[in-house]
Order: sequence, then structure tokens, then C-alpha cells
Amino acid sequence: MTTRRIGSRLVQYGLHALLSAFFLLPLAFMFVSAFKADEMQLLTDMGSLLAFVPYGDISFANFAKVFQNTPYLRAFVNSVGITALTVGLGVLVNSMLAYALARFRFFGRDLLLALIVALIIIPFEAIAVPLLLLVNELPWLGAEGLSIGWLDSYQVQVIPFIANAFSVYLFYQFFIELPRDLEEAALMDGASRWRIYWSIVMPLSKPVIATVAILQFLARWGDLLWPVMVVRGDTYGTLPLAMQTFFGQFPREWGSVMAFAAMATIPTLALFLAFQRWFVSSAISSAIKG
Amino acid sequence: MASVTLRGIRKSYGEVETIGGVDLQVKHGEFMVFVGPSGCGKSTLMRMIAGLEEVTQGDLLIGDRVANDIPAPERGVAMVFQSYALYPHMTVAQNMGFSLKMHGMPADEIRKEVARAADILQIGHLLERTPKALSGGQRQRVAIGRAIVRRPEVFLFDEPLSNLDANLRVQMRVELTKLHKQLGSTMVYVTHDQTEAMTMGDRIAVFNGGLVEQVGQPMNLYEHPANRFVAQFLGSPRMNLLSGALTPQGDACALPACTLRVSGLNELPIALPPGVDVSRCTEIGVRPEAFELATPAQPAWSLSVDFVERLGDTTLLYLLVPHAQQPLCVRVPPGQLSHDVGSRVRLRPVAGGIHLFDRNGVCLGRT
Repeated sequence: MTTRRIGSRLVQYGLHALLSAFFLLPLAFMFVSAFKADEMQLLTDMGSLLAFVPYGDISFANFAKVFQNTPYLRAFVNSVGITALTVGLGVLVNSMLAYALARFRFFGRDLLLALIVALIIIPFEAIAVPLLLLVNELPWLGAEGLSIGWLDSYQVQVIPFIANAFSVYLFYQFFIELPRDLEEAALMDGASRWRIYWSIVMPLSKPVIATVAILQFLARWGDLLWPVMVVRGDTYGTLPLAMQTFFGQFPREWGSVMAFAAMATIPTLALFLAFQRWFVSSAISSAIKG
Repeated sequence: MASVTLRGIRKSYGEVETIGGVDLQVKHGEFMVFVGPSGCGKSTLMRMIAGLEEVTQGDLLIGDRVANDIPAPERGVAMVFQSYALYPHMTVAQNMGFSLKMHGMPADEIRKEVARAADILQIGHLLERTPKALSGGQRQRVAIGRAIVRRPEVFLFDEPLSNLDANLRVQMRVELTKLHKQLGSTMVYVTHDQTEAMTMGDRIAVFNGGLVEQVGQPMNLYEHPANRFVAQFLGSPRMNLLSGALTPQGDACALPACTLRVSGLNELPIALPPGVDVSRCTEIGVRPEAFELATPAQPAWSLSVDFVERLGDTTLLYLLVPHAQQPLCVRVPPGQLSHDVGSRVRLRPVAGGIHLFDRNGVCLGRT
């Protein structure tokens, strides 16, 4: 290997290390700080590299405080439930729409497809307020009978996010590439359209299901804007909302804040480690979104 | 087992007509091959029989039922796709049993039917594998097995051997022919490979431009093609076509004879074909094997060798014909003569080896 190549390789590794540090150091800071029980020590360390060094009074005290002083558990369960429901129903609904668009010929199909693609570029922030006004007027049949307005509920955090234009687009792109022969073979075997979708198409769509599920999971798990607008109190609050509330309380205890943040991050991190391959492929396949 | 009858079948996609009126009957238990070049409509016609494409016009009968509007699964036909179309996430047994499951058959009976089909195709040891773990030939068998379990009245094969390598294709050709004899079912087989058509079919239907050019037994079509297209499509290498004219000879005492004139070549005396108006002949066709080397005393064409292909069991000579765009292809037994590029060969068509075509490409007869 020539000196020039070694040099370029060193520069390459140097840049990689710099980028890795850029992304990993905040995580390291968060986890290390979460275990530092001495608030004064933590504040002193913040200005130096000691912030990344676990030393001094290391314990789970901050985590215990989070459980005592915040509705963490409730928020965690809410987040898991809301995200799981949104992602699960989203995969089902969006894939069914995409399948219809990919395989059925009906009046207005092309227009509908164009509209869905156009919807991708509209940011949620642009429709947040009209959506809030809308959900505030919607009826709901609950345990107490018919009520008006969905604020402070689970459904307000789930239903508006089930249908997702980008998910439909991803499914559509995948379905039109699926060999038609398989579906025609199933049709000749006596399978109904629904059966073909469920027994043939969906089992073959695991990569795109994973992509859609991961993207939706990340979007829902970390969403703060919508819960801030539609939820008051702790009953229906999700983790980002609970953390924001906790973060805004005085006196602010950084150790506990970091412990809360760590506990909110761990599920995402665990999922990432478990499905690393899918995450990478979903990032690639969604690259067109930018 | 049932017949398939097509009466005036047409298929259009908007303004474009891909099948322009086909009348054809596939008899009970017959192995019918649809053959033709890409885009001739043979696969579309098969898909119409399968129920995967609607019939624009005409009647499609399976047995004695008009099947135009019968849904695909109720037609009693099973199709083997070119791509095999095996469900990748299911095992071989699940693939084969899928249709029976769709028809609500109990699991025990499905197992029995799958085992029966697996026995016929000798794939019993593959039942728990997924398609990914199978070779091309094994996938092919599974695809056929999936059709067999349904006990269909008609089997449809859409170019099923085109994805296999040459050796396996020959092997599967033989096996499919045996399977037809074993099951005795009506089979329709689509291919663009004339060798498959010639070797497998009880009868062949030659398609061109959405129409059937000719239907008949393979050797009958080979020896008596109805027109230039069929003559050239069947046979490898293709039949040689030469612009030529026949002139009757005036000698009333001699046997009926005429003179064959081909531009740039010697005139040859040939027998006058009975009942043929030779004045209409504008083109002649001679198959590569229908030439003989001439003795010095015989009238013959003397042509120079442009290219030689030695295939082992036979040798193909490509001979330059003055004023012709294509060289004349001649098949000779190996070792008969040393044929080098540039050498000259004297040869003549054998008796009965010349096909006569009119200006529209219709075959007038042979001599």
C-alpha cells in the first residue's frame, strides 16, 4: 500500500471517528449523567470531559426518583399502546389501499394515486391546527355514551395517523414490482382477492412492512407536537409529553432528567439493535423522501 | 378430461387487436401445442382459456360449457406458469395443497392428494422444502404437481421449459410427454421453440400476428406447410427461400416436366407437380436436408462455400447464391466431402424437396 493510500485511509477513518463521536457522545453523556446521583458533581462535570466519565456517586437513584416523581410508567404504557396501534393498523390500512391502487383498475385511480403522492410533501405542521379543530368536533361512542370531541383520548393520538401517504406510496411501489404470476396462480387456485392479499402478498412484503413499521414507529414514538396540542394531564400523555413536562419543572434535576431521557431512549435503542438490518434497508428505501 | 373449443375468439386492448379471430378445437386427451414467435398472441389465448384474460368476442367452450364468463377457478383448468409462480414463503407441500385448501378440502385428504402427485413426479422427498431450496428442474416439477393435485380437465403450460438449461429441457420434454400419456388429460402447451412443438405435440397450431396459420400433426405441418410462414417457422435451420419461377416444358412425349429458374443459378429440369398452376409460383423453398450432391453428369447448381458449421452428427454448409441476401443452408452427413470455405459444391434439390409458393406466400404444392 502506498503512503498516499495510507494517508487517505487515515483521513477516512478520522472522519468516520469524528462523525461517530458526534452521534455517540450525547448518548454517552445522557447515560453517564443518568447514573450520577450527586447533582452538584453532575453540574460541575458538564463543563469538562468528565461529563462522559462514570465516577463518583454512581447509582440508580435518579431512576428511582423518576418513578416516584413522574408518571413515567403510565406514559410508557401509553406510548407503547398508541405506537403499536398506530403502526399495526397503519400497516394494514395503508397496504390495503396500496394493493387496491396497484392491482385494481377503477375510475379515478390515477387521480387518487397522484393525490396521495402530493400529500407526501405537505408537512404535518401545516395541517396540525385544522386537524385539531376537526378532532375537537368529532363524535365518539365510548363507555359514557356518545360524546363530542376527541381531545384527551387515545383515539385522537391513533386514528389521525393510521392513514399515511408515504406508507401507501412505499407499499404501492413494492406491490407493483411483485410478480403478477404469483397472484394469478393463486387466483387459479381459487383464492379470493382478500385471500391473495393476506396469504400471498403480505407474507412476501416483509421488507416493506418492516420499512413502514420502523418509519411509523420512529415518527409516533418521538412525536411531541400533537400530544402537546390534544392532551392535557397525565392520563393519556406519552413519553415525550411526560418528559417535556418533567423537564419544565423547577427545581430542575439534571440527573433525573437524564434518567428519564435514557429510559425513553432505551426501547428505541433496543429495537434498533434487534432490527438493525431492517433499519438500514428502510433508511435506504425511504431515501427518496429526503 | 375435456375438449377446448374456440369459436371466433378475438381479443382487443383498446384499439389494438391481439387475437384476430381464432377457430380451433383441442380434442379430449389431446396434447396441443401453440407455437409462434413472441407477440403472436399464443400466450394471450392460453390466458383466455385459463380465465386470466377476458374474451372480447367469440365463444370459448371447455367441454360443452361456454366458459367465457366462468371464473378461473371454476373452469376446471390448471396452469403451469413460465416463472413456475411457486409461493416462496410456503413449503412444496403447502404450494401443492394450496388450491385444495382454497376449496375447503380437509387436511388429511390434501395430504393424500399431494402425496399422490408427488409420487407421480417423484418429488416426495422435497415436500418440506421451500422453493428457494430447489433446483430449476425441481421447481418445474412442483409447479406441475400443483396442477396435478387439482385433477383438472385441462392442463395449460405457458412456456414451462424456457427457464431450464438445454439438458434439463430435453429431459423435461420427455417427462412431460410421458406424463401426458400417464394422465391422459387434455393439455395445451405454449412455446416459441419449434423443437418442443415438433417433439411433444399430438397436434400443433402455428400462430402469427394473432391468427392461426395452420393446425395439424407435427410431421404433416413440416412436410406440407400451408404457407411460407409455417414452412420457415418449423424446422431448424429454417427452410431456404429462393425467388424462382417454373416453366412447363413443351415435350408432350416425355413425362410431365418443367424448368426451374432461380436468379443467378443454372436452370434445373424438375417434375411437374400434378394439379398445380406452376405459373403462379414466384418463390421456392427447400429444407437444408432436401439437397443431394450431384454427379458430374447431373444438372446441378454449383455454389461456393461461405461458411461451414460442423455439428458432429451433421455438417451445415452455407453457400453463396448470386443476387440472394441469405446464403443457402445445406445439411450434409459429416465426412462425405471435405468442404472448405471457398470450395465449390455441386448440388440439387431432391425429388419432392421443393415447396412452391405464390406471391402471397401460399404453398401451391411440392415437387
